[in-house]
Amino acid sequence: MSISSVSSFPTSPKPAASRKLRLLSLVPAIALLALALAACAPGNVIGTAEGWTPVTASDGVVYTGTRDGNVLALNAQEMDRDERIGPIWEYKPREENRLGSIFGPPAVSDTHVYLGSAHTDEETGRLLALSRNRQADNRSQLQQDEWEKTIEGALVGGPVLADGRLIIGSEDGRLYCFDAATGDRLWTFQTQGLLMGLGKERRIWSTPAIANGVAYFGAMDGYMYAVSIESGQEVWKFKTEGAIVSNPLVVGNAVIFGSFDRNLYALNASNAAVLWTYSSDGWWWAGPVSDGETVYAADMGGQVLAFPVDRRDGDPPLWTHEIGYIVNATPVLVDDKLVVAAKSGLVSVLDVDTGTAEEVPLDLEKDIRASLAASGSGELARVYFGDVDGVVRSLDVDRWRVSWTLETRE
Amino acid sequence: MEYILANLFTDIWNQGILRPMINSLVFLYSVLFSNMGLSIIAFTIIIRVLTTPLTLRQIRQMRAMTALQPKMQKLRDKYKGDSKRLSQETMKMYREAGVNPIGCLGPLLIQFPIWIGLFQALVQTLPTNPDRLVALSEKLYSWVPNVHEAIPLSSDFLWLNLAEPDPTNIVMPLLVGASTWVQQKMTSMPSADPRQQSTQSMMLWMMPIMLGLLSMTFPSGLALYWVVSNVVGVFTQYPITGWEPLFRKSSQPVTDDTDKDDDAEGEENSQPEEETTDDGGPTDKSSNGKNRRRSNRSRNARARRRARRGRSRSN
Repeated sequence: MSISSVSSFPTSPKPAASRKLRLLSLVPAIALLALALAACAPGNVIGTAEGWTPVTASDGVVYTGTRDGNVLALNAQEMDRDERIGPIWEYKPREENRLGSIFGPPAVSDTHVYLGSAHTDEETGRLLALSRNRQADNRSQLQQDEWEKTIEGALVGGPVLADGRLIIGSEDGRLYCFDAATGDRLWTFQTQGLLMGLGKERRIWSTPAIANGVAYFGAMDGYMYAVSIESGQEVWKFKTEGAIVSNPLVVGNAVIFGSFDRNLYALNASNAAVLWTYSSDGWWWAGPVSDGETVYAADMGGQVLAFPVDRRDGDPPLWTHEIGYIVNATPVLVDDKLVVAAKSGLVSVLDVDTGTAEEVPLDLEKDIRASLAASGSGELARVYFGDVDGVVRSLDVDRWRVSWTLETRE
Repeated sequence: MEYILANLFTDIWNQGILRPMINSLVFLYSVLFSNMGLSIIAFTIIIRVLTTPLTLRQIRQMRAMTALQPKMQKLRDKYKGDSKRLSQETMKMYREAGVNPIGCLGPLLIQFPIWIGLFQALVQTLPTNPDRLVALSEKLYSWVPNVHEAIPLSSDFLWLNLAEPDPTNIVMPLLVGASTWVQQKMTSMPSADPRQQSTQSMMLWMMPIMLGLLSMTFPSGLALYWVVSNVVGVFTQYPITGWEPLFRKSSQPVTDDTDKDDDAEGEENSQPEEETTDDGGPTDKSSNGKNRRRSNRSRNARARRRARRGRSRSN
């Protein structure tokens, strides 16, 4: 594969053949240039991440973290009337204090909204507590009752609240617990990690689930962990054959989650005994949801499935619905409907009893990867979601149309 | 129309090159102790084995081209000032000798899609953020065993993070540059034309420097591919030319004694070293002792190889 072989062509003052050959000898140079350009293309720059515009809805207000690293509070009902009304407040930190990429949905308490972000290039994360009633004219400064922490390791999953404590997993393989009011660190729990190459794969991307004083979360090392919220001590851990990024769900005494080994697991929340498993063709990324009796889950092979919570191992699913596209976003239940958004931007509404589509899917043609949020019922039933282009939408489930749209990118 | 064409090319690229490459790397990773470095090394060797027919063809073409150099020089002298005629005669000569002047380019050109594909494959198989992991999931084949369970992959190998440039900023670039130089030197053939000689000399240094510089900014996994590919290339070349080309001065030309044997494909007669003279150029018959000793060594080595081949045939 000698490059110098190009130069071994005969040359002469100006013969046509030689000219042709000389031109051909430019091909390697052009190809190298193309390679260099490919390296510079935005999509190929390693570490580039701009977030998924996740949303959370609480008391008629939708909170979202934008691709620009800002946080917005939107009055959903007012926006229904006039989408030009804009946010109630906006937190837009200065450039040097930028939040980074936001993937996980915010957590909301009575007084505050909490949000984690990722600086994947610096391998650090930022955890932020903002007042729900922050002053609208204060855009870039933290107020007295607000706080911010920098954490070793990017924060990809969202935070959760439990008894005044804020719990979040980090890419450094630790589960962090903070006092939600002050931001003081109470404890950290170090995951085991999976020995790979010279280091250990420890990243935590899933948003923990809380039940009975225990935080359940999965990690890239393939373990599902149960950790005491009070002490930060391990209650149990369960090994799967693939990485876990799916948000776990606790229903009754079952912890249900999916893994990259393509299995959906239901474990006994007390002792990690396997209640049942279901094997599919794709990874499980989106977390399962439940109405208490039935579990609904979507895999990355594009299937949505329903199982009874007390399923016996080997029983077939109650129903299966083929979406046909990858599903990353955790679906949402609203009334008796399951709303599922595929990565392709196809949003479907399914009957929870039969799995049949109730309406023609809306094709928004934008990647939707962040979990969906819902509020209200009947005519006021709304589903909120953001896309990777930074657009937040409200979906009127009853009329099956987009009720408002907000472009959050500047 | 342009949009459709662009999509078509993207699909061809993704389905025909990128996906097979990504799945091969991930599969090799899963069977080679979860080590991406070993996966890249194995991948490189497989690629080199698959392209061996092209490489051998390239070597044959190069040797044939070299053997034609003296005749080429004669044609140049004969048709000086008549470029059209020279071109016709040149092509005729190539045709008669069964030489395709651009045949040498095949293996070279095939390298570029591999480089670009490997660059993208490395970026995509070693995801550092959720977006990339989602993108990777779309590119894995469901029917290839172990690939889904193998994710995420470790990018650690020796002191390198294979998804990022060499942190020392010197070791891999040096290895890439040095191995490229050695590989090129091994495969380069002497030329009778001083202009070609100067081009060869320039390329001999330009490419190693260029690739060395590029490997300072590219993922070190790609640099590892270059190094391994070059090393394999050197050891593939060794049985054909020995180490002699490494010690040959780049300005050593070939002279014309092909009148005695016009068989361009004749392997032994196309060996340029037998006819090399000193640095003085094609017509300078004077030689110094050092080069003569090298030439003798090379001749002796070939004689030994011929004898071995003869023995093996008789057996």
